[in-house]
Amino acid sequence: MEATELGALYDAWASRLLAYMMTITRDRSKAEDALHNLFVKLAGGKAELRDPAVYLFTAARNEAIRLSRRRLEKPLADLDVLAAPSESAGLRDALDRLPSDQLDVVVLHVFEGLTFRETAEVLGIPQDTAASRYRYALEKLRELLEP
Amino acid sequence: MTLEDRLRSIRLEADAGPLKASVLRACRERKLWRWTWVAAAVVMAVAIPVNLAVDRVSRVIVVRALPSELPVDVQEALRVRRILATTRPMFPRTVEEIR
Repeated sequence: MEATELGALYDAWASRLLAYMMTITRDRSKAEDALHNLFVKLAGGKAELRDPAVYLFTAARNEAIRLSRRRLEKPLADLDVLAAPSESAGLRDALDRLPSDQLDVVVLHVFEGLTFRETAEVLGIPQDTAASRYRYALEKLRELLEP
Repeated sequence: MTLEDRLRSIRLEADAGPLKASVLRACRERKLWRWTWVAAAVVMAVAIPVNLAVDRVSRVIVVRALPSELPVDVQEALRVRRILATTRPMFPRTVEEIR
């Protein structure tokens, strides 16, 4: 991949990928290392990505998991990665209490705007499973937010 | 406002801009290293067989007598080259050479 193409790819995707990797590593410096490794690998690859969102988020997820080994229990709120309006502050705290497989689906489908098909491909699960995990996540959030 | 609307009001934010220069530099360096290894491999692949071939040829050089009508300095240069061309290799390459 040429330097200009890589630069354009970086401008278009790097911030989103960094934020996503922070939700996995729960550590900014590890996420930055993962982003660094990801783009170094991309530089040696082909220029045309057939489905960039799926490809990049899958690669980002794999790299973040490889570097973090296990998910830290550090709350997302401490990372300064979730920007929520003041009325959604409680919801942000509730997200931290979701099981990680449901949080993955919420992050990719809602925050990153991926379809259920793309989300399922990134996570390596069937599309129906992604949709049901999203439904369970909403139910769990409703429970957590009930007064 | 539904729960999904509230979820969509939350954004994931991280700025990767400050990392761009170092990431792109690392990419360039990686590419440069790769080409360095390729170049080294090509040189080795060409240089070793050529060197061996030249070495084989130099052993069968027919050394003629120096023409006497040449100037002295040219004769001296040719004499040195003849010595170099007929000098035995530093290390024996066959069992017969050792014997």
